[in-house]
This record gives sequence, C-alpha cells and structure tokens, in this order.
Amino acid sequence: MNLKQARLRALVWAAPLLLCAIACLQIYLAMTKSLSPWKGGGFGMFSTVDSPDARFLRIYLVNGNEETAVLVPDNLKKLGREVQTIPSTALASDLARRLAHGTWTPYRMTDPVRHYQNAQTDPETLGGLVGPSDDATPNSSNAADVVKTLPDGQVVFPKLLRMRENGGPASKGEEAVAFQRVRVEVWRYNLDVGSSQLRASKYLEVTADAQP
Amino acid sequence: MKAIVERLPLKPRPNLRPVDTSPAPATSARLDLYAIMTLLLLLVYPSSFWYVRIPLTVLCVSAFVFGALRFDPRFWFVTAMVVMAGNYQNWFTVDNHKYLLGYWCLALFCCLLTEVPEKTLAQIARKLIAFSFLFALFWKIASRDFLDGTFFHYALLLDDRFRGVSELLGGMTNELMDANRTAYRALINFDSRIDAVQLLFTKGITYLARIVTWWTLIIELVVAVSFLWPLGKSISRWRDFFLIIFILSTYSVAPVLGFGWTLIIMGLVQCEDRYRYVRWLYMAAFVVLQIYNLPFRAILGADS
Repeated sequence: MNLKQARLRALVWAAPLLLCAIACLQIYLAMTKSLSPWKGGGFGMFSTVDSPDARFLRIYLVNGNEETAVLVPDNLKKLGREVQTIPSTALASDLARRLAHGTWTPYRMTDPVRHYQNAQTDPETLGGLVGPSDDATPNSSNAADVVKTLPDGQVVFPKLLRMRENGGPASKGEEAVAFQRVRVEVWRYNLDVGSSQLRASKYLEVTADAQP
Repeated sequence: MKAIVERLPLKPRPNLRPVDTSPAPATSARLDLYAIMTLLLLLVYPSSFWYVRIPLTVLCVSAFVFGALRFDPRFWFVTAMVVMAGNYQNWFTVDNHKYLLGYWCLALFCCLLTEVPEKTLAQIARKLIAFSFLFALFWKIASRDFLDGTFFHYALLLDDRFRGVSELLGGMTNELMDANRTAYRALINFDSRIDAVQLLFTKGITYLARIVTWWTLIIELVVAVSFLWPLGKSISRWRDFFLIIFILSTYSVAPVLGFGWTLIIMGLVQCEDRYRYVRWLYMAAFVVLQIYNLPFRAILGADS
C-alpha cells in the first residue's frame, strides 16, 4: 500500500473509528461505573428502563431527628444530572458538600399587585424588589400544607426550602433554616411487569456536614 | 469644491476581487446538496447550549452566503469541532444523535481532503450507519429488561412519546394513562417516601410491548448486517429499503426527528446511482417524518 492509499484509508476510517472508540468507552463506563446506557455516545437509548430519568435524587436537610426534603437548586442542576447519569460516591459527596454550604430559607411568594403597592408606599421595599419573592410555584402537596401569610401579603412555605443562589446570608425578613448535615440519596426504579409495580431502590447515600 | 477634490493625492485603489459565492467547479452539485442538507439540519435542530448554537448558526449562515465554504475542508473541521466540543462538555446529557452529527461533520471534512469526495463520503456514511446500528443492537441484546419486553412495557405506559400508540393500539385510555402518570410523579417527587407504585395497563399493552421489542431487534439487526455486508452482494442490495423501513416505523412512534434526518442524509449519500428511485424514497421519508411531527392528538381533540 502506498502513501496515497494509506492516507485515503485513514480519511475513510477516521470518523467511523472515532464512533467505535467512544461507543466502546461508553460500554466500559456503563459496565464498570454505572453510566446510564442512554448517554455517553454508545447508542444505548431505548434499550433499557435505566435512563438518567429512572435515577432520581432524594435530598434531606437533617436537623436532629427532623428531616426536610429539598429540591436541587438551579445552579446545581447540572451536577445533579451528572450524579443521575453516572452515580458515584465522589460526585454525590460533591453535591452534598455544595448543598451543605448553602443558606436555606423557606419559599416565599408574593402577589405581584401587593408587591407593587408595597414598593410604592414603603421606600425600603424599593431596594428589595429583586430579592424577597420567588416565581417558582411549589410542586409539593406535603410540604406546602403549612402556609403562613405575612402582613405584607407574602405567602411563606416553612417546609418548602430553597437554597440561596449565591450562597450568601438570608436577606432582610428571611430566616435561614438551621441544619446539621445534608443527606443525598440516589434512587433507581425498575418496572416489575409481574406485579405491575414501579419499584425504586436506594442505589447510594452520602452525607455532608453543614458549615459551622 | 470640485478643484479641492481634484487636487487631493489619490491613493492607489486596492485590487478588489469579487467575493466568490459559487462552489468550486470541480465539485459536484450532489455534494453541495449533502452539505446544504447538513447545514439545514444544524440550523433546524440546534443545540440547546448557547456556546454551541450561536457559533454553529454563524458558521451555517456564512456557508449559505459564501458557497465556496461548503467545499472547504477547514470549514467542516471547525464545524465538527464546535459540535464535538459541545458534546464533550455535556457528554452526560446530550443525545446519541448529536454524537452522530459530530462524526458526520468530521466525515465531510475528511472527504474533502480526498480526490474523490463523493465516493469517500458514501463509504464513510455506510460505515457510520453500520456501526451505530451495531452498537444499538449490542445494547438491546445486553439489556435484560429489553429482551423480556420490560422496556417497551414501561415506555408504553409512562413515556409520553409512546402515548398515541398506547391508546391507539394498546387499548389504553386517557384515564389509565393519567393514573399511571400520577403514580409515577408520586414515586419520584422530591419529598416522596414511598418506594413502589402500582401501574395500570391493559392486556393489549403486554402484546404490543412484545411485538415492538421483536420488531426493533429484527429491523436493527437487518440494517446493521446489510450495511456491513460487502457492497453489491446479497443483503447489501436491500440495505436502503431496510433503513427506510426503520426510519418510517421507528420515528412514527418516537419522533426523534434530528436523528431521523441525520440517517436520511447519510442514507441518501451512500445510495447507489443504479437505484435512482431510492433517492426519492429517502426524500419521501423526510417528508413523512415531518408529517409524523404534526400534533395529531390536538388536531383530533384527544387532549381536550
């Protein structure tokens, strides 16, 4: 084979070989590191129930005997997704550590009309226009069953917590929730066709202590 | 005023050349068509990451304005690198067809470095189709919950993409589907403490799951083997039909149009001239894929 032929052969095989190399790496990671077959370029989508969506997180702020379930905050969603796709103690611990470093406060919602009226009448509120209210609608019937309404019209969900995006202290009027540690659990579900049940089991669990 | 202008020392005019917007004459119109289809694919099904989407949009629009870029291997190298860098950065979230798209852009780069770009591209396309189906088949055989029908059973009950088929062919009702969805949410909700929920389904779902499982295995096996087989011999001569049947049957259920379009472009590139009507079949498959994407449930009032 001369140089010209070898070059042509290399150009013909470059992309297919790259496909094969990445797919073999994906198979290795799926077999040894619990990577979901759906992801990683191995063409394993639609081959198993075990997609990243079938692995879900349960996260708790632990304070003595009391545990409060929390959602992954937006700024840690990417890491949360990585934990779901290729769960490992190291990744889950990293997530738990970051959550434990955060300041957690109850969700608050404000009626936009009341918020506007308060801002018009109270000069101090003008400075906090971007601060105290959340647009997010809580998606929990259990957590939202205890609701407080403040005199300024804000609705507070004491059992539904959010982590402050920048990790700073709680803003005016907010009270940070005390906790000792954060527990992150990775769960995986499967369908048992015989009993027609969707069954979840805990895959791994890590904890991280809160900052003193 | 006129006198002043005339007395100003005139700089020599730069030697301006008109911008060449036409493809190089040696390259074929067909290769241009494949490049245009790929650019459209990149534009119509863009990445969800801004640092991939924006550079690709600029690159694609540039290649539409300056036609010569479509035949420049450096252009396709940069495009491939942008797609692959995005895949690398988000490897745990991107879908498999985005990987395939990256390989395809790399293929366009490689083929333009050869003296026979169209022939080289056809060879690469055949290999990419063959290996992607081979690995897809591997996973389906290696997954226990695929072979026993559990996966499609699950998908027919809980994956919204399969809802139409579950109701039409599996006998599921809106109420049953909604009850399953409620059970699913109860299990995965962040504050849930339960570890099992009951799902409801009809007998038809069990049969349908088995049929879809075996159909998927057979069609993927046939496509993989026919594309791996030496060209022009036995099963290889039917490979285009198998691929078109795969596209039409699979994406009618799970409309992943970006994947379908990538396969259609690669299929079109590698199909042989002696079966001219096969090109039309690929184009027809492209149109049918778009029809699959129509909101049938909303049109028929099933969502109300």
